[in-house]
Amino acid sequence: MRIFIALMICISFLTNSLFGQTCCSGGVPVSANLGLPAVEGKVVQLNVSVDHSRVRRLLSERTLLEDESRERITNTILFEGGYSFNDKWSADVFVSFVQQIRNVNQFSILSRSQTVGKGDAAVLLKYKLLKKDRVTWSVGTGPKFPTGASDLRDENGLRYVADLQPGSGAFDLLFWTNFQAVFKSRPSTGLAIQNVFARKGVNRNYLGSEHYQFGNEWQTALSISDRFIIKNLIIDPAISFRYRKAYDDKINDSNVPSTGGQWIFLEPSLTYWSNPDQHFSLNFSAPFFSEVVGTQLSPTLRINIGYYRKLNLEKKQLKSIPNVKY
Amino acid sequence: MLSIRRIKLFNFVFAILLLGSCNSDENPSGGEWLIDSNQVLDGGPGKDGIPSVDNPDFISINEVDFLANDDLVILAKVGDDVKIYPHVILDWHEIVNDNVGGKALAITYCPLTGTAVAWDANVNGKNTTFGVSGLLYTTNLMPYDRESNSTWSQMRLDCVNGELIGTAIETFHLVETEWNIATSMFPDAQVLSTNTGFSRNYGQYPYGDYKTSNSVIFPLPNGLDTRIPSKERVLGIQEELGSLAFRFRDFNNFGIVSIQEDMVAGKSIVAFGSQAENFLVAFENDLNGEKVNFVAIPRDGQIVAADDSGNSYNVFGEIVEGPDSGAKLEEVSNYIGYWLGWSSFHLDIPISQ
Repeated sequence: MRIFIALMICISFLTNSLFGQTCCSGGVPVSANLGLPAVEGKVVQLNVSVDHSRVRRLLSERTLLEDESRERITNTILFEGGYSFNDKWSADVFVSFVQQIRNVNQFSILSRSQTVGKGDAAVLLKYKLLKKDRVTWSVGTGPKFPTGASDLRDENGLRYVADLQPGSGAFDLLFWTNFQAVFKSRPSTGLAIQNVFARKGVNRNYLGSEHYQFGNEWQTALSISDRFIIKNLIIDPAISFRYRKAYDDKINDSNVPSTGGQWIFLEPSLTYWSNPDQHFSLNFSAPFFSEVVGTQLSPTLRINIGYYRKLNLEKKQLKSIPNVKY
Repeated sequence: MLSIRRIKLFNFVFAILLLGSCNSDENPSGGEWLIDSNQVLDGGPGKDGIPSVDNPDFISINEVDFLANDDLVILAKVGDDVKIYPHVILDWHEIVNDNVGGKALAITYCPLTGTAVAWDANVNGKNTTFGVSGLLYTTNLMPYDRESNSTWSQMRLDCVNGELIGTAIETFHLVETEWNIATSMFPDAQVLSTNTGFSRNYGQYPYGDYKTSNSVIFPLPNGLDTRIPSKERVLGIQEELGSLAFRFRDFNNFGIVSIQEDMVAGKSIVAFGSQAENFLVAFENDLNGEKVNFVAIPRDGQIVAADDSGNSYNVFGEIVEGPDSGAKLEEVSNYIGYWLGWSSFHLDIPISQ
């Protein structure tokens, strides 16, 4: 275990010194959905969600420009499966199907481009560093595989730009930490802090011969959730504040203009537990602070609807921390 | 366990997404191409994602408060009508559909190749306007015309896809120089204002360090020609049977406008320029069928050259004083652009020495 932690710390330092950056428009929302809830014992978890992301606001650095003629929409179906081998170790697998849409409504003419396909997949190996009565701290790392196509062309054979492709064409490295606690005075109230760093790899076959690298990405989310029982319904409302920093994309080691930025999102969510082992969730995300590099479209709204199911292979009663879903 | 009903629900949602994606793209660029379509790339913003200026608003030079002395501008002149198009606006719009001296023109500008070319907006007898297709060929702007929706290449000067495929575009002479030089040449010119109808931060260059770095954003099919730095601005001559590039550094006579002569495809070419004043123009050395002996002089307003017959020429090749006043040098297709553009569209282009 110490080797695992040391490796993560070393890689984190190394990648911090190499910070590149990332695309700010579409893309599979892997980082925002990583990490199934902490459980114990041999448990299988499944989370299926539909994610709708709309990128419409045109910003010049922090200034909102009066122009809503361009829009990027990313619809994703996310499948996340997890298995906890024991009380310490678990692994999540993440696959996705993506639809990327680019709308330009200019001069009373709508021009629409879209791609669809399997997105990139990710594996996250997690280790529970700390487990006390009311506190859990887990860390994880794993690769994101370029399973999605990154060379799609339109019906006329013309290649789409990188951020309209379902896949990135590159291996990424993901680093994840999650701290969860429940309050002593109110055990149904949970606090969570999650960090995700995505060290983006290089697509060495972009446009046949170019090297394209989406910008590295850092996300930190602080969430508070509670549980209410209304008649027979068990509802977990939660509110999250998410900071996201995306660095510039690079093409052949040169920064791609007008990529990268930083945002703070407000993310309310509701989770309905239909029984102790499954729930339905609804998450909203909208930025209340945005600063982009140059002038670019900036995230406007994200909606995520999910279904979660837990299967206990040991047939014992499990204790679950109130769900805080990102 | 998941109920059958819930599984059906997920299948339904997924199917909706997949079905909704069957229509791929509405960029009408199917059919035959005059160029290798593998080299036609999606630039990112999409068709009309970079909006052309279709209702340009002009102001007098005295009203301009958004330009620095050394900001680059484009000068267009038809008859006595002179208009100035600042790069800081063209960077965001790439095409201005305008009327200069009663002539419908599209001022096309590609920030990635640094090329400004005035296109005749009357194509095959029909007036049209041009928009930005969102496509690039050899990292250069591809306009589309709104009459036929055909796709054109700015630096090839022809239609490469669509109904008008193979049609050549007529061009008009433009001059690129700095704001303070342009205003001293034509103080009565009208200037394209930032009141374009679009909300943009015109003080911000949209392409980061692109102008000064050696990098390219989109690949060049034949790589970089390393004889000259890729972003050095050169004046290129583009004739049917030949091409030629002039470098600013060869026009550095102190205090007077330099004159350089060369040949392109059997035509005698004369170029007037000043590195200090950042202008460089070229014409065929042909005035009413006669070759002219030019005399280098200091620039005086719009006058940049003289000949041994007592004629004085402006930057558009027009004789504004002298016995042949009103006459004009024969035009050749020429415009300024980054070396990477000229060397990509004209492989092994000769460099005038």
